[in-house]
Formats: sequence, structure tokens, C-alpha cells
Amino acid sequence: MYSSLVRIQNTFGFFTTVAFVVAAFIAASDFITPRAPVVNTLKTTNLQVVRGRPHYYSSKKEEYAIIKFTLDADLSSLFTWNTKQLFVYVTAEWPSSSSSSASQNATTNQAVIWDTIITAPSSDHLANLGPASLKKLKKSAAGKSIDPSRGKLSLKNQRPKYQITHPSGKMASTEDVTLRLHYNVQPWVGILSWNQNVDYGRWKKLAGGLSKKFALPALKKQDEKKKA
Amino acid sequence: MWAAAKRVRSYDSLVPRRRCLRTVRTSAAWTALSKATLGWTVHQSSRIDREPPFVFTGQPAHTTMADQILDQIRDVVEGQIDFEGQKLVELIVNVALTVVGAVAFLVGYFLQDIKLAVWIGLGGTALTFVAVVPPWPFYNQHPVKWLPIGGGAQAQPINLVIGEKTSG
Repeated sequence: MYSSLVRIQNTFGFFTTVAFVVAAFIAASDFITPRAPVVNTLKTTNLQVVRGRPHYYSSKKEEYAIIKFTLDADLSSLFTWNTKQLFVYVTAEWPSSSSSSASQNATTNQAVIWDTIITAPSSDHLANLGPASLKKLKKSAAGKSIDPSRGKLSLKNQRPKYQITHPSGKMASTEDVTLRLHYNVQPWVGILSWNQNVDYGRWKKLAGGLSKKFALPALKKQDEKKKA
Repeated sequence: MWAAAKRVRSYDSLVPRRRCLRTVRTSAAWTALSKATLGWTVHQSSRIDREPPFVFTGQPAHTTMADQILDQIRDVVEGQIDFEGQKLVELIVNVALTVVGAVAFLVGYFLQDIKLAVWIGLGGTALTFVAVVPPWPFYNQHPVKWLPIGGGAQAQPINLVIGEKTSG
């Protein structure tokens, strides 16, 4: 420590150690924070299967399911000081049909129909928004370090972001389809965590994240419309 | 100002500076630097070829204005402190940074504000740097007391000639 350079090096060296330890404590503080996410409502409101092309120049026609849904969920307990953002997504799941070549192996198809990123106020500046919406977002949590109310989702008859299909191109009249809500907590420091089906200590499982089973309708007849 | 007692602060400032560093620092690059920065010329040949006896004054026999200023600059940049100061610095760094880390975590946790925790941590670290890196006079209160040259018990004069008979 006899010269300035050595003092800079030693001080910075110990600073990195302290920073690492504090970060480890912050990451650990997640585990003692209770989580009790609840989905009150998750149901479909409108189902449609149409034929379409994966992209404009494709000659292949596929069937696409358009699943509108209503979601009412309270994920506010996931927002702590260490939460950077929450990724929430809804998937449609259905068992692979027995007629397919996949024999007896019961595999489940899963496709995302809707997703969203909910930023914590501490990461609002990272949100991928235009200047006006960004300002509005920042204003919504002005003076707050965390804003659990952002975890309260209430969607009514929400249009899906993604129309889903299957590698076979067949979607019409698929049975036993369910919607499932997923989330992914992304902390500032620490481990990523997803929705869980069992309780881990103070992290309770996601209550009611699954919709009732439903069947997709038959293909919508485009021709009749055209004739009319 | 250039008395031996002031110049000699620790081993590493004493030993190499007299001969080795002096020679190295009057290299061509150093001369060019002083010329470029100060506009003065260091007389290089007289320095490198110098042989004992030279006068042990804490200041080379042939010293220019540029040399003095460069010495001062180097002292500021090197920022040497004494042994007691080094011990104190080590203590201050360890205690201050640990306390800053603990405070940052606790404040952040109880106010649920991670940005505040980061700023407390960085601010406290910056303050620690300011307190510790410059050679504050505080860290130079216990200069090393060297034995008199030649092992003589009597007080030594500042001007001592080595290589010939010692004077005084």
C-alpha cells in the first residue's frame, strides 16, 4: 500500500469482493420473499381456425388457430426489489393425436399464443417502447421503487399475438386443448425462475394457471363468405 | 526541501533511487519528455557517465530545474506513505468497504430499492477511494528514522561525500 497505484489496485480488488458478496445476498433475499401468484380466470372467449400461408410467397396452406381468451391474474407477489422484469406468456397445449406417426408416446404440443414483458420500475428505462409510451410508463410508477400493482393482469377477450399451427398443418377440430399461464421472473442478480407446479419453501405454486379443456372448431368455410 | 531526511521515506524510495532509478530516468525518453513538456533540456551525458564520488545530498550533483519539477510530479503521482500509514490504509479500506456493502444491502432491502443500494455502494466506494488513494499528510506522520550513515553515533551532516573520506 506504499504508493497510490498499489492503493488503487488493492481498494478496487476488495471492492469487487464486496460487490460480489452483496450481490450474493441480494440473490439470496429472493428465497425468503414469499411468492403466491394466483390466476383467477383463464378461459377462451372465441375460437377460430382458418387456412393461411406461413408467409406471403409460400404455396403451402396451413390451418391456423386464433384463440381469444380472458385472463385475470394476480402476479404482484413476484415483484420484489430484485425483480427486473417479468415475462408472462400463455400457451395452448394439446396431446398429439393418436393417428399421427408418433405411436403410443403421448407427447404434448405446446404453442405460445400471447406474451408480455412487465418491467419493474427499476428497469423501466430498458423497456422497448417509443418515447411517449416510455414516459407514460415511467410516470405510472413515479417515486416508487417497486410497483406490485403491475402484476395484476386483467385481459378481456384478448386477441392472441400469435396464430398457432402444427408441423402437420392440421389444427381444425383438435380436442383436449387447454390454455396455460406461464411466467418467468428475471431478477437483477440471481437465478431465473419460472412458474412451478409444487411449492418450494416460500414460493408457492401457481394457483389455477390452467384453463378448462376445449376443442377447436372445424375449419371456417371461406368459400361461403365469398359467395355471399 | 531536498534534505535527505525528507526524501528517505521507506526502503523502496531509498535504495533504488540513488543510483539505478536516477540513471534510468535520465534515459533518452525521459529527456525527450521533459523537453517536450517543459521546454527544458536535461544534460544527459553528464548524468549517465557520472561516477563516484558524488555528493550524497538527496539531490543529484547536476540538477536542472526540469529535474526538480519532474521529481515533484513523480512524488505526487507515486504518492508514497509511511509504514504506519500503510497499516492504517489497509484497515480503513477493509472496514469502510465492508460497512458500505452492509449498509447498501440493508437499506436496499428494507426500502425495497435496488437502485438506491447500487448508488450507496458506488458512492461509498468512491469516498473510500478519495480517503485512501492520495498521500494525505495524515498517512505520513511516522517517517522512518534511519540510522546515521556509516554507523556513527554522532549526528551526520547533510552533505556527505561517499567514495572519498567522509567529511564531518
